[in-house]
Amino acid sequence: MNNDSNNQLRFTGDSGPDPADRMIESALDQIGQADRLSAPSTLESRVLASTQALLAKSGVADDARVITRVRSFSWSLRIAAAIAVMACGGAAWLAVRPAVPTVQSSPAMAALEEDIDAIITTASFADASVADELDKLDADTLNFGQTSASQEWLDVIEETSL
Amino acid sequence: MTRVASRDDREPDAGERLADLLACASAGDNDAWRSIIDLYARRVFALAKSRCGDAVLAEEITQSVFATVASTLGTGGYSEQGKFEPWLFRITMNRVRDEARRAKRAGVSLESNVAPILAAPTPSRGLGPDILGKLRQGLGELSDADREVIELRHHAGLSFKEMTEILNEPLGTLLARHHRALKKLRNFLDAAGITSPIGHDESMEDSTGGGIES
Repeated sequence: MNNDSNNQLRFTGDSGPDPADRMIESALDQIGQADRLSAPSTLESRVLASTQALLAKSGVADDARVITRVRSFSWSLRIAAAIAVMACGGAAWLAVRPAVPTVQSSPAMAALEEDIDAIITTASFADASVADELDKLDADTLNFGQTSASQEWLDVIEETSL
Repeated sequence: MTRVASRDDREPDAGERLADLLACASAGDNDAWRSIIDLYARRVFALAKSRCGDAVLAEEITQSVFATVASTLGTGGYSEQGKFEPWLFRITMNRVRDEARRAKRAGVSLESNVAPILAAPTPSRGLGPDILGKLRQGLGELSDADREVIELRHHAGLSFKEMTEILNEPLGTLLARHHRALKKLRNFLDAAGITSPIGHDESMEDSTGGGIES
């Protein structure tokens, strides 16, 4: 502010440093004045006509915006509440349900189970007889080896083969 | 005649009156809004026209500026703290720059619109239309920064203090830029051979009535 005042003192009146600059300033003021006066005479009326409704509308538009904001907030609140209710219901159901689900067996299912048990038992018996036969065969092979080792016929075979 | 409040004819209580008008307009008072338009529409128009060089475009910009102001006032988005004019003309400068950018994208120079304006005769109080026409040409030769200062000062009628708030520059910088722009214009007129009529025009000495005041 003080600087501005100092500049006023410096430039105002005929104490300016350069009269030619003041002349140019004055000429520029004339040009600016001419441009202001060159505006159409109906400029103000047209500006008023185009903005008056806007000035009046802006309050209504603002109210509408506020109402819209409240509505959208209300809907989002409702949706959030519905989600919360569903989540609580789900949690309650998980809490009260039995830990292990019971399976109801039907008569047909029981018969099937008995058949399967019988098949398994038969298979295990079959496995046992096969194992006995294998053991017996193994023992016979061993006995044959011991018996043949004590006889001379192998030598005879070797001589005839030569 | 519509009253145009420039820095030359402000009343002492103009600030209080403007604050009242703004308050009434914000409350929906059409008469107050009309008074604000009467006070500033031509200054906005002159600034836009000087920058764009097109009266039709200048009027469009003027309407756009006041539409923005009306919307902001109507929604209570503006509180008067003595900075209405800087705000108004900052909006104007932004609109003008937008138009310049749009014209540049479209491959049209706003300077081409300025030529007829520069050549247009200007009503003169003391200087001949030829000298004022040359001065308009000189304005077109200034850099954007120098020209902004000149046009805000002489077309929009702002004080240097108000210009500091629009351009975000220190007062000293703006004064120096204004002085430099005047010097460039003077050199331009020198080169055109019309320095003498300005430098020795006694009638202009009388009609000047003081130079820069804020």
